[in-house]
Amino acid sequence: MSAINPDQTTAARLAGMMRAPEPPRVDDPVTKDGSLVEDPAVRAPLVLGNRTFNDVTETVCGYIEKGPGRWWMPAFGLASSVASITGLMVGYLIITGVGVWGLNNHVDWAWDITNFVFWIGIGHAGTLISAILCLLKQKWRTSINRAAEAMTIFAVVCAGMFPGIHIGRVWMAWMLFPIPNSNAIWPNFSSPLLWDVFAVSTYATVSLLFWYMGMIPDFATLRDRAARRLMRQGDNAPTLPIVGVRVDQLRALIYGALSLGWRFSSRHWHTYEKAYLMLAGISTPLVLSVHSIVSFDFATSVIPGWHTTIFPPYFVAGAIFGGFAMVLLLLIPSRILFPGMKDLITLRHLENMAKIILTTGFMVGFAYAMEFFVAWYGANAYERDVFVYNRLMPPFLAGEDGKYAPYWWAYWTMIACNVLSPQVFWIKSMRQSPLVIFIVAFLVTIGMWFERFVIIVTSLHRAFVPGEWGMFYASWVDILTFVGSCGTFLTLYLLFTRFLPQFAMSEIKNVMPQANPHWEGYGHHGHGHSAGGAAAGGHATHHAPQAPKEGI
Amino acid sequence: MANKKIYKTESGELVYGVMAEFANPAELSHAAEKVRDAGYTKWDVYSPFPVHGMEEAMGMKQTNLPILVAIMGLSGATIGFLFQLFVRHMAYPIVHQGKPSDAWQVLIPVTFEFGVIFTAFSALLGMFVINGLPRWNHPLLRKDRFLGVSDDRFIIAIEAADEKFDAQGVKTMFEKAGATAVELVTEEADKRKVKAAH
Amino acid sequence: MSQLTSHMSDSQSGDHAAAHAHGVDPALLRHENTHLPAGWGKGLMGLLGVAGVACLGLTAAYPFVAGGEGEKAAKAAKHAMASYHVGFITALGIMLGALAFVLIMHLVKAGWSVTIRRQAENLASLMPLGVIFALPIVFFGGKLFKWFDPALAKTDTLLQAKSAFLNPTAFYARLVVYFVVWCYLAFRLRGYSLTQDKTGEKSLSNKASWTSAWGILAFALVTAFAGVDLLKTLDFHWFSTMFGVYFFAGCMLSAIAVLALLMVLIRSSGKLEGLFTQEHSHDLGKLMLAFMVFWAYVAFSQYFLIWYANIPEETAWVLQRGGGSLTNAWTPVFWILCIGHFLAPFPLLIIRKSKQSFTLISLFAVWLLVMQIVDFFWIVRPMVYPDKYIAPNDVVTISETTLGLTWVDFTGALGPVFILLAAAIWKMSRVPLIPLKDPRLPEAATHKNYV
Repeated sequence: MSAINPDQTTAARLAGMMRAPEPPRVDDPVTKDGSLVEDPAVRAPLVLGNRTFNDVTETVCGYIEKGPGRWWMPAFGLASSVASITGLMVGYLIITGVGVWGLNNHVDWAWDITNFVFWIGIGHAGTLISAILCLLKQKWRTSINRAAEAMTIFAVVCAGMFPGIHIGRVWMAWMLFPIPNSNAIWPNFSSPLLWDVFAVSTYATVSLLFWYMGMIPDFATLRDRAARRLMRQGDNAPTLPIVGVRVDQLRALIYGALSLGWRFSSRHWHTYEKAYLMLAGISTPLVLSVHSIVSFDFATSVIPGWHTTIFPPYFVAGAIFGGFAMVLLLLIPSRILFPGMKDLITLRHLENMAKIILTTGFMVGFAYAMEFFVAWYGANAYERDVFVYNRLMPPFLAGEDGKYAPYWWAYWTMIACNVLSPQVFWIKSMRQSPLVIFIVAFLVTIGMWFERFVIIVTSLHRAFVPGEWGMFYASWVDILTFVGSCGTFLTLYLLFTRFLPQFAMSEIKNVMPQANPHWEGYGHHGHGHSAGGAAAGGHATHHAPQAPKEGI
Repeated sequence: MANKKIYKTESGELVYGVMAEFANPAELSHAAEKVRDAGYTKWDVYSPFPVHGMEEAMGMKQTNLPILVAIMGLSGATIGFLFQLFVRHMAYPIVHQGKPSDAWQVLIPVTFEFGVIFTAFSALLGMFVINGLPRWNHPLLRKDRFLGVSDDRFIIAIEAADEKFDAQGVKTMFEKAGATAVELVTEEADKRKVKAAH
Repeated sequence: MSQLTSHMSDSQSGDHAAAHAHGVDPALLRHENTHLPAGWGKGLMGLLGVAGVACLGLTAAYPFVAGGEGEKAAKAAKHAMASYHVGFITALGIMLGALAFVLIMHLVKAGWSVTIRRQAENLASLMPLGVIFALPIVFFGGKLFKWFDPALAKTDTLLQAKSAFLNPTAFYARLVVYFVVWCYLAFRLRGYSLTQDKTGEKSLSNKASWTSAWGILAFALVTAFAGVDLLKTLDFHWFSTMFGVYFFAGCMLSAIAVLALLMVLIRSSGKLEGLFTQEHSHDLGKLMLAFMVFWAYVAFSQYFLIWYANIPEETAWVLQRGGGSLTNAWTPVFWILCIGHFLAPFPLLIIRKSKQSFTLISLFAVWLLVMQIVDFFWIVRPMVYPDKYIAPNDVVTISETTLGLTWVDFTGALGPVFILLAAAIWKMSRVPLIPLKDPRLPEAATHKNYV
């Protein structure tokens, strides 16, 4: 098949009428799908199945153009009905007042802020994964970054709702921003809660920019495919029912507008890559700052269990931990549900993410341990009591005095899920099994929710004087609001899988071997190449006439 | 520059330039080196992804975007700092938790966020400005062959605006460089004509 | 061309890559390019060694030179000891950071850093020198750590509450554990690497990764507690959960600075041509920048949370070091740290050229190393001036302090660092300059930053 005169099948594929044929599946006893290479001299392939550039385009665009499959509509229906609960609960809350939640005078922050920190943590992970892995030049990020970034935006949407509704009088929310008003009142810039407003809104904006910027070339691909089909099919192009607009006309219009006329020029790419790197460079400290600022909400106070200096990096590590877990929760089913995705998200990708879960699991474990040690070492009676009698001590281990921590089950759920469950990843077969990874990721997600619950509720429910003591019990509105937020998240994610490219196509193509002009598959065109072989050192100067001069 | 030539086709359409397709990134890089060495200035290479080493192969200069972004980021941070100081120290001074109203420490978090948001916007918008985007309408985007770039094709185009441009010479050079197809690109005013042509 | 084709090994399917895995140009790996001649750098080594020993000698002599009796003599001894402690911690920190570098690079299976790794292995394997440096603490620990005093344990309630941790026996036992863990990891990983130089056995790389996986956990725990033991307990009333991370950030930064210096030194003697290029220098510079920012992040978070919450037992430590609104002699040092350790170098180091040029990166490395010494000085030295435990509302005591800066502060801080550098140069010529047969060497040899 020549590139210029394709055969019939290829022509049909180019015209978007056929899926690319499935390549033969590899099932090697050692490397499984071919990605679990043990040899330290060999980097695992990032795209399996000897895929061409066109295959990648077809696979990714196929999810949008041909639809994800029959499962999508029922799944979307279910998710959006759950999401609608959010609306009902928020409406009920605003009409009735925050009394419908289980909050009380002792525990005045509970599920609302737990959910906020839980979602914002997941929301931090996406950009962090994408930006940090980009800075570290981790090529395997190309398969997961888009989904992770999308997930970020949706999680921030869910997170942003909670502080908004927990302030009580929602219609006064504009006072969070420094808007000049007739009372000459300005917000208090020394309050961590105000920093939160700025941090979260900056974060949402920059994440959106980062996400959008990555998608510009992919929008252009979708635009061009639609345009080409229109050229070929002419008046026979399929139309939308009722409205009668040609589907591809609509796609060319919408994706075309979003692509801003991107035309894959190398001069553009040069500036684009620089700008993208700078966005990644600024996103990394941004994410760190935002979750640190969220931790300041607690750590700047004097409440035992809240005021501890390790909170900022500990919260950030927790965000990566919980975020990778959520990415895995979304991608492992996606690999099964979307055809051809197993070539793009290999077992190696999953294994790498499992290793990161193990590492960050240890980081949060380290922080738990350090908090405990310093609570003891600081020799402050309140600190010691918060850790032992608010969190740790189960009733069956209580001493003679019968003192125990009423929330011991929350604490131990957190430890079991966050510290113990990832330990299975020490075993190679466990971290290479999608099912096991999925289960652990699920446990970690639960554990991370409990971590925030433990921090917030157990510290508050017994503060300095016993007169302030009291328990917290979640109300049905608390529970349904949280369930609803999960539905909102899933609904948005499902919409993303349907209408936006789930993979950064241009980036994936860039890490495929044939993307390198010096790939040995080329190299025989009478340009003086000699593939491999050590004798040809002299050619380096010939082919890189403008090689940068070394310093000194 | 005085005698700027204007190229037209026989049917009287303005010529945008000549584009040539190459089989793969390796061919593309070699061809780009040749175009660079031939001394053309108004030309570009189009590929579905940024080909490594293309900056060198094309003899491109490093972009000045980072300087712009750095200046914008620092100004953003300064604006944020001064704004907060104005609010906390002058417009609405309140003693809060015993902190002096001019304490610099509490201003750091929001100052940082201001710096970040200025940096992010200037990186993205600066990229748009330098690249001349958005530009939804471009002669190349009307070529069926060119639309393949967004999938898996590799194209070099030399503009007629280039001083050294000479349609025949450019075609010969491309063919020598191993182009798999060479096409003339016109600045068509009427879209329907394009459609008919295809 | 061979370099360029072998670059492909990072992203292609098995058989192809395997065929070209050892595609480093043999010209680059020739003996003269990868080895220093025996006895190389004697002059520099001698200079640093003599300077180091002289510094240590002067530091030891300080109490006698300063003279005085009773309280004044005790203070002079304490001053000398504290100054030496700054140097000891800096030298130890460089070795620990180098060990962390080796652990991390093995753990993430990094390719680009292979040609730098050997120098980090050398630095980490100087750990026995750290044991020798720690000996003065064994003999004169009481001058450094107030809580060694059994009489104090009877009167100080806080000390009683934590006496299970803060007693000399437990302290020495912990130090032994720390050094055993560090030495074991350093020697084991360097051993793998040196064996691989001879045998070329690829599985050793996998073994090193595995060792690093559990090794980094042990390292993190032990190093955090070492930070607590050696620095935090100097003021045993004070506590901060962040401190271990803060210590680690400083260690990493100083180690990367020293690595950059060593690599440029090797390169300027004409070795490692094509194996340590401006691309490697660029990435090393990026790591330097990253850890500088990380240090600033951790340092700010710790300071800020203590400042904001304003709890007396925590704030005292910061007030003593000039970080409050009440200024004292330490306030300029506090600001030197803020500006010199982060604000000034940040906008300069972020420029690509600063990281790619060997001259500029060396300048930054020296600057940041000096700043790291100032950081440890800022942590350790207030135990001498002001000597007192400050109550936060004790305005007079805070504002009347002096730095008491004298020559012993320089000799004490620089002595161990000079000796460490001399030892690092000595190690350099004894083994190949890079892991010659590391399976990822081709990647390092062709490493290039495209964007």
